[in-house]
Amino acid sequence: MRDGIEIAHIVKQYRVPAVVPWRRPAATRALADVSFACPAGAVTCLLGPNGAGKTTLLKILAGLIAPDAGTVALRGETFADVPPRLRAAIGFATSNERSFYARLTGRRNLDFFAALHGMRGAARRDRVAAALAELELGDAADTPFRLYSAGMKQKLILARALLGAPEFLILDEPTVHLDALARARVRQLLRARCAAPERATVLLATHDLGEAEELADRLVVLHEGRVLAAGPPEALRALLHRAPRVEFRFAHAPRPGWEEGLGQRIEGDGLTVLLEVPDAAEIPLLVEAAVAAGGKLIGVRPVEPALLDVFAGLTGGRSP
Amino acid sequence: MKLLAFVTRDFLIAASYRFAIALRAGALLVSLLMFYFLGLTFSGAIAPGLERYGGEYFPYVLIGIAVSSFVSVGLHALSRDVRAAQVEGTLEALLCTPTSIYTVLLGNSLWAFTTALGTCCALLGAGCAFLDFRPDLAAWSWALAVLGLTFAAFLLVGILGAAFTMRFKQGNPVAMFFGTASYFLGGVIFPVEVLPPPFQACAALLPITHAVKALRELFLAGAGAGEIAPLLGNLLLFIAVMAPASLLLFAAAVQRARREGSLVQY
Repeated sequence: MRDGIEIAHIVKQYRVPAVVPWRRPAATRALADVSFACPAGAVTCLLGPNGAGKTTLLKILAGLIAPDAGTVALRGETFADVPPRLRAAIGFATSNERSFYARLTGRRNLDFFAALHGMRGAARRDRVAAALAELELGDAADTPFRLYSAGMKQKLILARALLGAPEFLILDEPTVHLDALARARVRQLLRARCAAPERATVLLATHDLGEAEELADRLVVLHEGRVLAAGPPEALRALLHRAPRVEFRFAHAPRPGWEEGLGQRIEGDGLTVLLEVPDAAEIPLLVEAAVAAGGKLIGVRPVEPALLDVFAGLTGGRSP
Repeated sequence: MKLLAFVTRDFLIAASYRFAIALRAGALLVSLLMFYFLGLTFSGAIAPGLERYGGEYFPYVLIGIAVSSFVSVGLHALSRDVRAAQVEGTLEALLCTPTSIYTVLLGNSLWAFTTALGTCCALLGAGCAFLDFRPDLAAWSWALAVLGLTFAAFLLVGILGAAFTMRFKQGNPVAMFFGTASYFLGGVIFPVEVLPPPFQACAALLPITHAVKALRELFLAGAGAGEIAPLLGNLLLFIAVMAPASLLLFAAAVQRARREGSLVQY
């Protein structure tokens, strides 16, 4: 049974040097008392506007930045600072796409990092080839890294993170430069890593709410260094405290004003109408009213709040 | 095995810049010829410091130049590599692997030291083959020991410089101090004995002084292990003092960079 990641009360401040040397440096808060858990065998998506502290948090988990306070629990052990001995268990995909050797090929780059993971000989060659194939980089494997496109560079970063079959995958915007098909492929890969027998713990920072909707078992919304909400997507949607919304689709539109007294029109003025209703129990009454008003109804469905609405509600309208 | 991976990486990168390799070899050849003709110019005008080494300037200075290739690597390569890794963003990627920071540092500089050793051997070889350099090779194994200790000494100087680069990003006082002092005071181009006594005392603190002198004793004066033992002792003493200072300062610089989140800032 694998444990996930537990982050407790992480605090991080940076000193920002003054422009002129005689002024004292200012302190800027990157993370303030951040706590949440990422279960094993699940994808946790970290959402937050620019400057929310996502990358700082991921780098703390990868052992690249030391926190000022708080603890991280990995494999059931609690640490004030992630120790180097756990690096083999952590696959970190940085958002810095230049983190390779430009003159070497993709294969040579991965081979070098595989050697640093302690892999040797034929096993190393096979693992590198498998990682390249997994990310569909086989054809570009022997092309110098400097000739890679942004998407190919990003795939190579992911291939490197996956090299050591890590127990914890920490990914900083891993699909930002990828096309739709490649994104789907990466999501599939991450799902496979979460499934048994590997049951990897995946923590992924993203601005792509569609990706989060599709991939996340749990969501964490970070804003100005604080966790605004954390939990399964449905629990976060419930946080909106919004009246239920229902979409009506007609083959023939009912007379205007058919919904008056029963629901409030949010959008639509013809064959598709989105209504907000005070109570879901009123939906059958709305159906009757629509039919009575001459509408030929072909579909009724409840509409869940989009993640963007949840996010905007939590962060006061900031973009993810 | 990890160190081999670093050397392979750097060999492949260096091999991809063929023009730079040819240019460097050309520059080396020019400096070699320059000192050869300088030696011919003053041939027979024996300076007191050269008497013990056969009186000829060219063999004397050839050993100085050959050993000084370690100086430039120690003083510049490590801090340059740390800075390059910060700028390229590879430092974070390296530190995410289960590899100690010291392996990363040593690995990053190993190719530079390998080329320094190659340069050193190539210079001495070229001197033997074409320019009348006739070293006494009876104690070659001790010469290797001297080069090994020189490597260790300048590796530690380089680590100290890398600590400054890690902390301050630009500006390497270690390179500034050791670089100038090594070429000026270390007996690379002229004998230390011609310097005023206070400068000679400063020269005694530099590893290059003892390394160059030991090799000249072995190759040019036919000295044995017993005669160069004090010089080896001086190199060992330098290493013993420098090792804890360099390693602790570098560890502190890395820890500070992790606290500040500045590992890849430059």
